[in-house]
Amino acid sequence: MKDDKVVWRWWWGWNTEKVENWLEEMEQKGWNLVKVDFAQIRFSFKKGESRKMSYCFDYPAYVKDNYFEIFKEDGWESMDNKMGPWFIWSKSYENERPSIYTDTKSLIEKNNRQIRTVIFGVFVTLFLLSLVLLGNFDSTKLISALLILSIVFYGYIIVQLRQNNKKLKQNAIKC
Amino acid sequence: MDTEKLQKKYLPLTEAAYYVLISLNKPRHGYRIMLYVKEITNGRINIGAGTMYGNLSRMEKEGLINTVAEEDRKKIYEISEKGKIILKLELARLEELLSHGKSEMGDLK
Repeated sequence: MKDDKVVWRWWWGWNTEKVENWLEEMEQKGWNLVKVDFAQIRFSFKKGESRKMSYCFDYPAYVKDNYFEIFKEDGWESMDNKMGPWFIWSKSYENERPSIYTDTKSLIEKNNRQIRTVIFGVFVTLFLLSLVLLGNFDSTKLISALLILSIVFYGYIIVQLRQNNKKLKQNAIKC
Repeated sequence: MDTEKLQKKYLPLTEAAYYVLISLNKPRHGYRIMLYVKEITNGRINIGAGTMYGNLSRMEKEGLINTVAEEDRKKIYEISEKGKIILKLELARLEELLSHGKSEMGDLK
């Protein structure tokens, strides 16, 4: 039996719960996560002991040293390099699954930070598009088509994030 | 900024924000605040690391708290004058809630 496993897995920022749950199931089956790379979609596992682990994907605001300090002191381990913008944290537990976010507002803000980044991306793409259209190169049509396609992609992400926020708000009687 | 604007912008505080602010009446760093809140609420409120970092960075940006020192890559914060004004408004709001609840539901056992 092989002791290593590499899995490519795409995930979306509005539904990190899905990939977190998957990692936790892998850990329970004894596949311990050892590395995450390639823009955080390639997951490398090693066969070991079954572990009860909590995984949390964070998209924080400006990251400074004290970001890592707070997590480390609270017993979280960082899976990846310290580049961001996404950070994968893990912590082993026994009874109640710990989470890095403990209220709805924090989850909504995590989505809002992503929305701001994507909107910035839309503006950058529009700027590039105007350059390409003004420049009139040989491949203008192809490049502008690709840029327009990426704007559509960004739009899709924004819609999904906003819908997720709406759901979070509806479920919250408490603030 | 006048009172009404502050109320509109910040109130009601989340439980986490409320406890972070009152904990910073004394200088503390992020993890200390988490422990302190857990202790005074007998474990009822556990503020997660992400929620804590989010609250601290936003409150510092908005001037509700200040960094008073940095030790071993930890930032030590304290409540600012603006933070105190907001906390005062929130305490008045909570007192109103409590007195209404008690006068309407005084017979609730």
